[in-house]
Amino acid sequence: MDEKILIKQSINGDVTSFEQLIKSYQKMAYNVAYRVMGNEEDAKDMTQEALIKVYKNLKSFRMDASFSTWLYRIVMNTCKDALRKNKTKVISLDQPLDTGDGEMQWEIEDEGLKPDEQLVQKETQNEVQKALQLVGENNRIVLVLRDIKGLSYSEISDIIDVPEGTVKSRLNRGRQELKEILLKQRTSQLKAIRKEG
Amino acid sequence: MKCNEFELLIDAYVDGELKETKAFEEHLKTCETCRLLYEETMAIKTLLQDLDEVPLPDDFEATLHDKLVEASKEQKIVPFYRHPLVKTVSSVAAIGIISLLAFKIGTLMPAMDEDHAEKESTVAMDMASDDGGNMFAGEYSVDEEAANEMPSVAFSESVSDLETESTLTAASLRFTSLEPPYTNEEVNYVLDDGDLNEIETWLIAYDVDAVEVSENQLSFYMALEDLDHFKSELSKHFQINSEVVLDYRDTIAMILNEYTMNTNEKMDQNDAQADEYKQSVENTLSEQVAKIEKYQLYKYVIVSIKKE
Repeated sequence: MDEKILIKQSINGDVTSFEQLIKSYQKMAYNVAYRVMGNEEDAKDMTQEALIKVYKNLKSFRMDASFSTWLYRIVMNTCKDALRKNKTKVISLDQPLDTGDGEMQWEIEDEGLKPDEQLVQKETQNEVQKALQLVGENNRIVLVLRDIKGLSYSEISDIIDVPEGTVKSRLNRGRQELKEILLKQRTSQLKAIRKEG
Repeated sequence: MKCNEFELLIDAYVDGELKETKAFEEHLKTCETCRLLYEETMAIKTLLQDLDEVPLPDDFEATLHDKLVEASKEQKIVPFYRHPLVKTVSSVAAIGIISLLAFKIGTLMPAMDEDHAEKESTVAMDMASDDGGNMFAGEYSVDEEAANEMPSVAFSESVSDLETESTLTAASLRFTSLEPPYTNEEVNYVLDDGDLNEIETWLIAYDVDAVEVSENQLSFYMALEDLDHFKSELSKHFQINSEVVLDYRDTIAMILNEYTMNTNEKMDQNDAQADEYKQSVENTLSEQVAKIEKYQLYKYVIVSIKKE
């Protein structure tokens, strides 16, 4: 059904229409939140909180604007707001990630024995996700929107409400940061292997 | 192309956002250091792009549905000064409130320490003013330094100066209408659609309600803990000319107190009434109390802004 019709019905309070409206966005919103927040629990909370805000504020959405840009902007703002409130949560490279509910999240799911390749791939992914959390929050958001969500500079600029030049410099700094963090991780892993050997 | 130029363009190039690629690619072919940098940048980009999509948690849609149903039932906060209970008190206890006011001026002033009193922004209220309907009609000034603090409510004339009963009634109606004060600066800017769209998209990230816009002023309720952060965000995009932060806690306490007293009095006068009736009155009372109490969690904020 036409997005505009769904928006109008949602404004009138129709929850089912709203659920249909966000159906194609919620998974991506959750993924983006997951990469920004660093764990599934926070990602779920933030995505849902943002979607509720979207629902409650649909009335103020301007029909000629892009709904997806608006939605992602709310998701990003909600994540940023949460990160700001949880500033005390500092993740250290030397320690396993602790979300407060015990160590978790790096192992996405246990699939029993798997081929080596797949294992290596999963380990790399965990490593990248962990390193991403150490990248400064503003740079991290831009990295996620660009390389994970695949948005253009101009779309990112609309979502986070900064000039394209800022998007560009944040991407540059973000990639630098990520590179250095990953190198540092690799070096400390190597040292650990040498010690064991 | 020089290496430092290459470094500046590398992100745009790997992102496919570079329009003129010729000089860049020429340099890439000839400079070993820059080629390495390019490969590293591509590797980092690929690592991120290769991250698997994570599935939505199993209960995502079900829990979201519950929250949505809950949200669809929720009533938006209406501006406090338009709250029906505020009007109710006005008819039930117009004179009562004003005499109460004479003794309770101290409590009407928001909690603050005396040291701050002088540099606080002040709302001067002229009870004898003919400007009907506005509780805070009269002089109003804002001290920039005190912008973060709560304002004090100062009365230019003592309530006890009011003599006749008719004056009392008129004044009490002004009080009970509880209109918020507006800043008295000249309006030389009107927020346009673009501004509003911009404001609204990040304003809703906060715990905020009852947003109203008038020319260059924004009025809304906001949780106290969010206020400083919100203002720092706002000042990045707009010039804040002046602001008012109202704390309704004491006013609300007073209205609730008055409302409860009146209800109890009425109940006492009617001993013969059935318990059932009393119960229903009590229920209504606690419902109303709950409705109005939530205003105590918020500050009413008015900011007057301008695009820089």
